[in-house]
Amino acid sequence: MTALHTLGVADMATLVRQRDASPVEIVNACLERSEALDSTIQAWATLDRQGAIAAAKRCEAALQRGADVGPLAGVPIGLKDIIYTAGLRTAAGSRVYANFVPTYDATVTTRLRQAGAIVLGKTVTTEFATADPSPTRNPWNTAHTPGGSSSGSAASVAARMIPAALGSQTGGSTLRPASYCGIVGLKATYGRISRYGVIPVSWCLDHVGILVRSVRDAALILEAIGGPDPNDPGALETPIGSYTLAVEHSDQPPRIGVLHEFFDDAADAETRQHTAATVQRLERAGAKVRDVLLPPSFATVLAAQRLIMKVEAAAFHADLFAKQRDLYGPKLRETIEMGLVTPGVDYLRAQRLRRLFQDELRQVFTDVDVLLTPSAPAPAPRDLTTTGDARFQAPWSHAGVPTITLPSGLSQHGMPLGIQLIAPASHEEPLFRAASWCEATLGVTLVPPV
Amino acid sequence: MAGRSTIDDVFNILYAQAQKLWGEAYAEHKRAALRQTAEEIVTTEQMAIAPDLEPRFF
Repeated sequence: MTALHTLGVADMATLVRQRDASPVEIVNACLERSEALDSTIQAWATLDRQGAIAAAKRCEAALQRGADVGPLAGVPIGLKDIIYTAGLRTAAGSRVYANFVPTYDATVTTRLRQAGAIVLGKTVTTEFATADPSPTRNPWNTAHTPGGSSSGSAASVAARMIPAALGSQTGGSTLRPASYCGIVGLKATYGRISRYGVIPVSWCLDHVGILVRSVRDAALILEAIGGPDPNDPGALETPIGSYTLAVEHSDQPPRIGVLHEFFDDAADAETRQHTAATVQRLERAGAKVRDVLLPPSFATVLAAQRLIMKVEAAAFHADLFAKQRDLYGPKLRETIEMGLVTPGVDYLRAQRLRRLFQDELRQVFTDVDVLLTPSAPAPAPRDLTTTGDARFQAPWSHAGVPTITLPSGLSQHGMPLGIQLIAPASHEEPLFRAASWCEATLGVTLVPPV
Repeated sequence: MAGRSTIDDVFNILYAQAQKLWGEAYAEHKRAALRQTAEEIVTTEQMAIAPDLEPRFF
C-alpha cells in the first residue's frame, strides 16, 4: 500500500470515506513524516500534535456514527502562520506577534474544519508575510530558498508532510514558493477566498493561496473555502463555481496566449528555453497557442503594486511600529518606512493605475482562455538571504485575476521549474479546465529527494 | 504629486519627510530605498490617466 503521507487530498479523502484508512492513521503518518524531516526543512511554526489527533478521533467517531463528515474528512492541512486559529498561537513569523493567540478562527479555518479537514499546525511564514526570509529550506536542496512568503506551506507540501496547505499572496507569495518547490499553487480571483482573520500585508492586494500537488486537489480545497463572507469587505458576492467538475471535464485543449515581452527579457536562458519547449509540447498536443501583447499600463504595474503594498503595510503596522520598531526585521521595517513617507496622492495614483490595468487586461483575453508565462524568472536561488523574485507573479496579484502554477520539469541543477497560467477575473472554471489539461498533457510530478 | 517630473525632485521630498520623522542620519541611511520609492512614483506618473478614472479598492 502507498504510504499514507504521500497521498494527495482527493486520494486521502476517498480512503477515509471508503473506510480504507482511518483519519487517526493518516494524521499520525503526516505527523511522523513532519517530525522526521522538520529539523532539516523547518516548515512548521507550530505542529499541533495533540489538537490534530483529537480532531482525527472526532472525525473517526463521526464516521462510525454515519454522520456527514464533509468532503475533506480526515485530510490534514497546514495553515500559514498569519491565519487565525482559535486557541493556537499565530505568530506571523514576528517578534511583535510572538505570543499572539487568536480567540477566533479565520473564515478559511472555519470552512476547512466544517469540510472535515484536520489542522495539523501552522506553517512558517516570513515575517508578516513580507520579504525577510524565514528559516525554512527548500526540500529539493537545503542550500536554496523555498521562496516566500508562504515558505513553510510550500516546503511541507513538497516534502510530503501534508497534502495541502494554505498560504497567502500579495505579490508572489503563493505561486513563487510553489514553483520553487515543484508543486501546484493557486491564487483565485481577489475576494474569492475570504481574508477575514488573516493578518494583512495590503488589504487591496492580499489573497489567500492554496498549495497542493495536483490541480484536482486545488479545486477541492477552493470549493471548501471559497465563497461570499460578510466579514470580509473585499469578498466577492457571487457563489463559487463547480471547480472539481471543471477538472473532470478538461479534455478540450485550451486556447493559450503566450506573453513574451517583459517575461522573455527577465527570465534566465534556461527558464526561457524550458518554457518555449513546454509551450511546444502543449501545442503539439492540441492547444491553440498564439502570442499575446501586454497592455500599455503593464509598464506601471510593478511600481504601482509596490507603492500600494508599502503604503497599506505602513497603515496596518503604524501603531505597532511606532512603539516596537526595533522588533521588526530590516526588509519589513524598510517597507513600512517607505510607506510612511509616500504621499497620499501617489498612493491613489497607483490605485487608479491598478484599475486601468484591470480594465486593459480584460481585452487581452479576447481570443484566449488563459495566458502563460514562466512561474518565476529562474529556479529557486541558491541563496537563503532572499525569497526570490516576485516580478512574474506580482502583476496578477495587482490585477486580482486567478493564477495557477504547475510543475513542468527540473533545471540542470535539479531544481523545479514551473509554468504559470492566468485567467480573467472570476474565470476559475476555465482556469481549472486549462490547468488540468496542461497537467495531464505534461505528466510532470516532482518528488524531492528527502 | 502633480507637477513632479524628475526622480531627484521626488527623492528630495521623500528625503525631507524621512529626515523630519527619523532624523538626518537615518534618512541618509535610507537613501537607496528612498530613491527606489521615488523611481516607482515617477514611473507611475509617466502613464496618463483619464480624469474620470476612479480607484477601485475592492
